[in-house]
Amino acid sequence: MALIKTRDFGETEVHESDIFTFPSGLFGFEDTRRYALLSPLGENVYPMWFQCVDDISPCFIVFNPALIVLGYSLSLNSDDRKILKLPPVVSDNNNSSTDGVLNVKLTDLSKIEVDFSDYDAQKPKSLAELSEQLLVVSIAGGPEDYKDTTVNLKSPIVINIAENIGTQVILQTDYPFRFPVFTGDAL
Amino acid sequence: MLVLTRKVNEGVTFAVCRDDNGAPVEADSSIATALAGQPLSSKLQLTGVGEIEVVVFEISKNKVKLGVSAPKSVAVIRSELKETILHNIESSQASVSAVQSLLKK
Repeated sequence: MALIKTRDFGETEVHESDIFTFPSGLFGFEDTRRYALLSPLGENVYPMWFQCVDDISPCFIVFNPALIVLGYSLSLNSDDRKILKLPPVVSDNNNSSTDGVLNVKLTDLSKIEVDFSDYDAQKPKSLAELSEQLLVVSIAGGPEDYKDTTVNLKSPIVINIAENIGTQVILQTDYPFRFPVFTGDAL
Repeated sequence: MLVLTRKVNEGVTFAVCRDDNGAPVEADSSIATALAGQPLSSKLQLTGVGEIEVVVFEISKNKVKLGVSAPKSVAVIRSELKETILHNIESSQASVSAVQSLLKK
């Protein structure tokens, strides 16, 4: 356990396994590299708090996009996959000029579907665990009234739990930066 | 906003024009001549022309692949990056009352 100072909960103990390294930080916060994911509302209950470990700020409130938009999906390009230490996809290995992507679909709270067709049949065995290895959260906007809370579906935070490493990605998909959480119509 | 029609492999060149002191100068039609390496006949004295070129490489269903070449002093940024940074900064400043109502929910 590690004792960290938080913005909203004073000093809190967190498991080392809930601390993640972001080698390139978050956009706009490039120098802040270590974050903890806190679940004050109960285990696996969103929103969760995404708290910098080395200072009380920045701290973000995050939601699970799969609970907000049905079939939320994302593609990870080769740069994202390198940071996340994910195995290479087929097109990484041939000299194709098109950048291979790893397609990931969030089906519900805990399940992540990975499109394995991107992978070579005899590629790493860790693949089977890949779908349980990824955690995706969306940063909530900070309005005065919580009812107006929006989440950024365009630039989610993706974490490889197995490696305790994460990165923020900007999706090519046409998702909004501010999608209402509590009054949202289905996309 | 200037709107131009381009085909694959056609491009657009931007010239950032500065005088001896590095101050921006208004561009005129002689810029293209200067970019082509020809001596200028106009009154415009250019010492620093920063050239930025954008070329259309590929057009598919709803995507355009662009090539951008620019001087090192010019940052080329996807617009979504700027929006993401703004959203991150704004989100890191959640109000105490909003946080408390989320916790009580």
